[in-house]
Amino acid sequence: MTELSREDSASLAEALCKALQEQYAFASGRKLELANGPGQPPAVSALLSGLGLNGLMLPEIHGGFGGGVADLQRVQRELGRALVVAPWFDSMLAAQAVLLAGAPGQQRELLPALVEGNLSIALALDTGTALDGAGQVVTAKQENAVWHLKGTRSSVFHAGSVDQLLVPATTSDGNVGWFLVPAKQAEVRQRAHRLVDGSWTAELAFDGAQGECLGSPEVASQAAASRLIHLLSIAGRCAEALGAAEAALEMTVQYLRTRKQFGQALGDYQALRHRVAEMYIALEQARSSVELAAEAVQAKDPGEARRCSAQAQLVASEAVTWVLQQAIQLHGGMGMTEELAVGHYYRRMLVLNALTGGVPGALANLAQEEASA
Amino acid sequence: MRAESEALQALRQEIRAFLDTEMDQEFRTRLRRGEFPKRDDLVSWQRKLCKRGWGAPNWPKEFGGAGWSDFEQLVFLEECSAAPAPAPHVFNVTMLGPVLIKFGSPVQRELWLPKLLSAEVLFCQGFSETGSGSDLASLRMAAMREGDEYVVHGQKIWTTSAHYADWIFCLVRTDPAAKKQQGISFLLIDMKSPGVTVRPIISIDGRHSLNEVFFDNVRVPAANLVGEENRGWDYARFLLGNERASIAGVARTRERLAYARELASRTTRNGGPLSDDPGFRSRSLRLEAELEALDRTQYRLLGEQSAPAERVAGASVLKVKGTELFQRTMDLLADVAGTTGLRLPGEAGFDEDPREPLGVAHLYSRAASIYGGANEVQKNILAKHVFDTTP
Repeated sequence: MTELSREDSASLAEALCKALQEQYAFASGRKLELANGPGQPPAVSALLSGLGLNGLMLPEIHGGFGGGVADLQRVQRELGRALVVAPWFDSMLAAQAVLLAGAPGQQRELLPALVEGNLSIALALDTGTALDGAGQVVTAKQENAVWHLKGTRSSVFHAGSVDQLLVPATTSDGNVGWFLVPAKQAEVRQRAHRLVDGSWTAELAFDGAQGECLGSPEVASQAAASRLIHLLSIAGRCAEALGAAEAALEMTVQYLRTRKQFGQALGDYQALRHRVAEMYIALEQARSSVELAAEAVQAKDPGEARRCSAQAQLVASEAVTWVLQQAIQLHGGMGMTEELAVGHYYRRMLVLNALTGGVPGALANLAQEEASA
Repeated sequence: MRAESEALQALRQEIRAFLDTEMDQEFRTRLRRGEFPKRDDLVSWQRKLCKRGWGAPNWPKEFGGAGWSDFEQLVFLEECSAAPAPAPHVFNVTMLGPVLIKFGSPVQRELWLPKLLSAEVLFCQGFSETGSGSDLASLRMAAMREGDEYVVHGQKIWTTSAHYADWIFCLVRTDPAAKKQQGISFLLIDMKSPGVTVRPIISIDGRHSLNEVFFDNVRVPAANLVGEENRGWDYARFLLGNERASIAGVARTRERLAYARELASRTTRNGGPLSDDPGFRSRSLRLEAELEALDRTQYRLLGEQSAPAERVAGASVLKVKGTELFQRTMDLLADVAGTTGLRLPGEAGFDEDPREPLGVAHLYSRAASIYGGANEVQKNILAKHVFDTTP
């Protein structure tokens, strides 16, 4: 994986920050997206595409920038700060899977389309479980050289508004392959739900849906793609959470400076000043976790990578969740309103925790890692 | 572990049997799922309680109450929480009733108490204002006396259920020149009066339970003043002190914890039931232990014939610890429910998966450490108490 130069990366983040401030402010941009239907791609996707971000992590031969995980995190931090909920990040991860596991022909076909914004992909990972049921299984079977998928997924983000779904599915000989499935076919039934952060998810039922396998299901690159997607996903989500917490801390400090009770600014109360100090300490821990999560992506030893990634997830999730709870608390009743952005950061964080498994998920992974070491 | 007298045990059984037969199954399911009760739910439940003679556990018998001791009231609230079933109407019964009984005129008692009890009218509470949250005594909503009326002008905020309440009891400023606690009066206002406007506040859970209420020169009969003019602050303090029996919310949190365990046993995570996961068990067992201790704290504080200052401090202990444990339990529930538990209701409400409304309930639980005196304010009260009373 290559990386952008320090200057290029910084100027990209700066341009993104400026564009989001101008075109995606909370009241005039972000809030309007909450009225979108499940099949409507968010308008902010065009903004990201316009900045060339679709090619962020793709090599130049496919029309990309050749950015790396640190660049991905810089973008995610800005998206977290602006409360962007869009399939962009999923598409970025899917592009990495295509790059690792796809056949050369698939890469030539899919990657330029992704870069140009003509193709969006959602990851149909298993992010939820049915009550009273086992995990969700999707199987793939080949008939007359065509793959057909059967099974369910209980919570797939952006499924209604993307072109393709990238689905890990088990073949008859027990291998797990990555399958690209056109989202809008009759054999993919969707039941849409809006979540508290405004994102759309869907329960999916694959009923013999046609798809193509990235490369061939037998080869090791499929598993390598799974590992990379997991590590990148944690690295990106940690950075997004950090951006959200940084923005919420700024808002909180501004609020404490102006709000007066008992004849003085709230920011003059030592108890509240200490709380702000603790929030700042938590944020420093989260910042370090973002770096650790990036290093996990590059770690040579797979066990070391998993451990480092789970540690980063644990610390970042705990720190940011707490900071966002305190941000609401220090805003008092105002923090409880839908009108203010501060509560929306917490809503987003609840979704990120559910997506990654949050603290309990990280702990379970770490325990497993320790047991197998 | 609590040794309970035979009389209390018998009462508990009686209440449990009553809840079993009278609490509508569909309504109970909605409460378990974490949904808000509707106005009709509250009215019909209050009438059922009333018919049984339990409409007002905290009022003396002569006014139609159950005349129960603090402990009997607590047993009743515990059983309601465990069912779950709503407590008697909080604004009518827990808050306003005792104020009228203690400070209202005989005419006011005769007029209002039966209506409060039977839910013929529903009240809401108009205390907080935009600039007066924790610092309640700085409130500014003005009530100027003109002949037999007060002319009320100003604004209230965070008014739960104002959009369906019939009346509102308000703290108003009747003497702008007096020191801040001294110019406040306690006034009952008909929500249908000309000049009253209710504006919804949508909270971070996306639901509507809170409101702003605007009063534009609303004319209120002077007969609606409770007690004496400019003594309203004392009445408000009395009213807030009466929340002591329910403030810790132990039974409510226990019910939520039991629900988290039930859902965890029905959820597969990492190849087994989530209820067997060591992390889940460590959290739920810890919460259970802390709730047991808080329950004892609550009983100790109710039982002690303590000085008023200690009673106030005790209420703050119960509020802070009670809301912390409640919020930690709601964190646990959110983790159990996963993405399914983060859904917003569609136009027809929530779907059938019982986990769906838990996310919005979790979001609303963040208010528990803010309303009724933010936990930071409770800690100021406690710190003052500890320093004042430590030799």
